[in-house]
Amino acid sequence: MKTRKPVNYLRSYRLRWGLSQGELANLLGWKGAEIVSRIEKKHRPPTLRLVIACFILFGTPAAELFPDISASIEIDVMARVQEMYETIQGNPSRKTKRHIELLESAIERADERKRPRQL
Amino acid sequence: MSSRRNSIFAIHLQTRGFAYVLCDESRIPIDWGVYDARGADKNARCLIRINSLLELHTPDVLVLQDMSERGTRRARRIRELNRRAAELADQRGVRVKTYSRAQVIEYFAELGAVTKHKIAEAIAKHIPALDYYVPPARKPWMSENARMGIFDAAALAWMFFHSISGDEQDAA
Repeated sequence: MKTRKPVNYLRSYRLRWGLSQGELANLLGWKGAEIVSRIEKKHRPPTLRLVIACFILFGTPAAELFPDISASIEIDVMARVQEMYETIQGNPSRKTKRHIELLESAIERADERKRPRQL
Repeated sequence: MSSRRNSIFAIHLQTRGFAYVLCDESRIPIDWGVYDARGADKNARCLIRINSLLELHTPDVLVLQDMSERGTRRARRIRELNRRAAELADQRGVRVKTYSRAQVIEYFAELGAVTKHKIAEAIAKHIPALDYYVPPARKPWMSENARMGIFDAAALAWMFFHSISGDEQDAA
């Protein structure tokens, strides 16, 4: 079975604006092109700083630029959200009520993301 | 659970290397480029590069030009490279699809694009990311720009999308 590497669109965004790896690294705040090269070749995951810098530069959220990493984090977080949601049911405290509101809104947003988008 | 979208890798072999386009199933290009190979052992170097791209992107489908007897007539070296690229993909469990140049021309003629340049423009219109790469219109005294290969590869990928959308319509 082939090992599938997570897709990222960093190279795609760089190429569509005609930027070299060095130019992009410079714009994102790195001296050398190596970081861009390593992320494009999937040798290392993107750093938080790079994700934020890409959002500022391209206006693209992390979920679009790094969809697989974003999706795997979402799966992990939502599993814990569901677990906590089940655990705290029936507790009448005000604090728990706030927690339930938060978890329900997170579940609602996750469901919203799963719906096919109209192009 | 995997949320990974399927990806389609199209390669167009050229006299000096090859051009490639990798798209996801929503036709958004992930990677594209031209690999320039000159001198001796062009095929070996091209195959090393194709292998590394297959390893990096792990596509689901590889689209190549149909160079069989009924397909497009190309030089023997390029036919051999095409065959070995298909073998490489096969070894990695990647499905291989082939389309001849005649099929591509026929399909794009229906869209009103009858020259290579018009085909490139038609593709760039639908895939704005590639707009920057459309070479200037070629004059009779100019040799073909290597970047045109990107659009030849994109046209092959386009044919694949067209064929699967046809299959879906047939199934419906």
